[in-house]
Amino acid sequence: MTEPYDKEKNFKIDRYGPCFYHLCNKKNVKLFRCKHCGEYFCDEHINAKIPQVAPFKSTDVDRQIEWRKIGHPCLPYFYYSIEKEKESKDVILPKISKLEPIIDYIPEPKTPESEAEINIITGSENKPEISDWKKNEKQESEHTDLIKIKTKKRIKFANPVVALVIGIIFISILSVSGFLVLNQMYQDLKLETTNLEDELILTNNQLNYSNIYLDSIETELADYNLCLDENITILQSLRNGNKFNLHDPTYKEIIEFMDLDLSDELRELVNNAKNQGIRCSFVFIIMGDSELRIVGFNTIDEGMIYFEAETDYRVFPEIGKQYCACVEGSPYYSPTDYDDTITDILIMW
Amino acid sequence: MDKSKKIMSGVIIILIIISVSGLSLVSYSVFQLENEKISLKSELDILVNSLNGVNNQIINTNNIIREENESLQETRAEIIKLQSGNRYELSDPLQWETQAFISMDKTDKNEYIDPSYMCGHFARDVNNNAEAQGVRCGVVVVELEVGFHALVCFETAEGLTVMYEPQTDERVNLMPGFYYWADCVIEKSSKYYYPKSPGDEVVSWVIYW
Repeated sequence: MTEPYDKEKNFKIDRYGPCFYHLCNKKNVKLFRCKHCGEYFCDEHINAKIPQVAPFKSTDVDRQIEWRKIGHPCLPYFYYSIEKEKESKDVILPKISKLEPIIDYIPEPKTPESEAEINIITGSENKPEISDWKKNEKQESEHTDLIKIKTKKRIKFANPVVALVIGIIFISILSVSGFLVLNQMYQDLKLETTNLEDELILTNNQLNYSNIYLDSIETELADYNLCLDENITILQSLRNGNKFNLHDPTYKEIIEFMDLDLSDELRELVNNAKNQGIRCSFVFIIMGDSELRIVGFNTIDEGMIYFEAETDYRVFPEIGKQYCACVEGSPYYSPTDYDDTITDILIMW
Repeated sequence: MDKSKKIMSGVIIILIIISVSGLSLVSYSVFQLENEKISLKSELDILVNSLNGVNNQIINTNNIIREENESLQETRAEIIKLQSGNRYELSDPLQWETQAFISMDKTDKNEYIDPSYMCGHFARDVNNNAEAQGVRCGVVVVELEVGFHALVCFETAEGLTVMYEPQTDERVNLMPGFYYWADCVIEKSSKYYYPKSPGDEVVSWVIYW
């Protein structure tokens, strides 16, 4: 079934002729086009009505009214009516069915035809003009919109109950999820805080132990300092001396002395050593026809050690060995003009 | 309908209140815990810093103790060595003591052997013997016109420097330009004398104490 009503195919007002309604005898009247069947009717029969047999025995008042309506029976309008009704039912009924208690409040939809009928009943203008058709059409669309709005209103009216339930569920879900999230956060934080507290206690204990240990080692250090000071005093007293009080030095003492002493002359070096209480000897290295004088110390731990006074080179003299080969680091070349073979070593304290 | 709506609304409001209250309580607890956590962390940081500081101090102190211990060990070792070593008490003798020492010393009895035992050896032995007896003695190296000669000397308590020829135990009075043996050595008796030998003139001398 196709939609019979088309707004584009509106009424043509400049047409005259016989009314298409078979019971109308008007031959040359102003014609109006039915928007449903597309045929032309006089102003009296232009209203479409549902074609039906006369409902003389019917108790259905609506059918009676419909049958009595002035107009032409229009099959496309019938289909149109059915379609509209179906559409209205499709839209409204599912929602209305859910709202049983308030279904009584749904008003009957007003069709243009019924409005026209109402007009007849109330004695108002029943001659359809062009503006009336437009009005009818507008009213029809308004009616459809009204139904929709009312349906919506009903839906809105019905929604709070659903919304309440949904709201409860939503709030419950939100609350529970929020609570769960917060609870999880709380648990995590609690665990973290507990760990931190444990760590704090542990660190505090460690700090206490460290402080105690530090105190003990500081005491130990103080003891060491005291002991070291005493020993250094003893050492100094042992090292102290002069040319009348001499001692055989240690190797370390001699190394320190040679590092500190700035003299580069044999006699001066020996005098400095003896003035510090270090027993020191002149050593005459006899080499063939020549001789060399160096300084010697009889260390307690390393035995005799020798140094050149001028250069502070350490010397390891051996009879029968070339002198240049006896100097530590071999700083000298073997002489060619004389024999530097050591023949004798004289140590004079 | 209205009653049920009201009940439902009431339930929702109560639910909302309960939920908000519960959530607020939990949030407040979480907030408090968060604050507690922050304060604990700060406290922990402070403690950890203190602990690190104390540990560093411990490390430094231990290092110092180690160093001091090493120094102490070395010092003790030095003390032990020095205590185990020989000590020499020397003194400047009186003039007559020098004479007595030289007379008693037997070095002059040694035989002069060229080149294995010569003036230097004599001087060395006298010097070392003197030291062994606590007498401070010096070695004089005399430069002659030709060669060197060695003798010993003493600084007396009277303030004099007396020299002796270690080969003969004779007193020596060094004079530059004079013949060593003929002029500088003072013979013990007039029964003999030293001839003047060329190259024997004293040029200079150095005393090694």
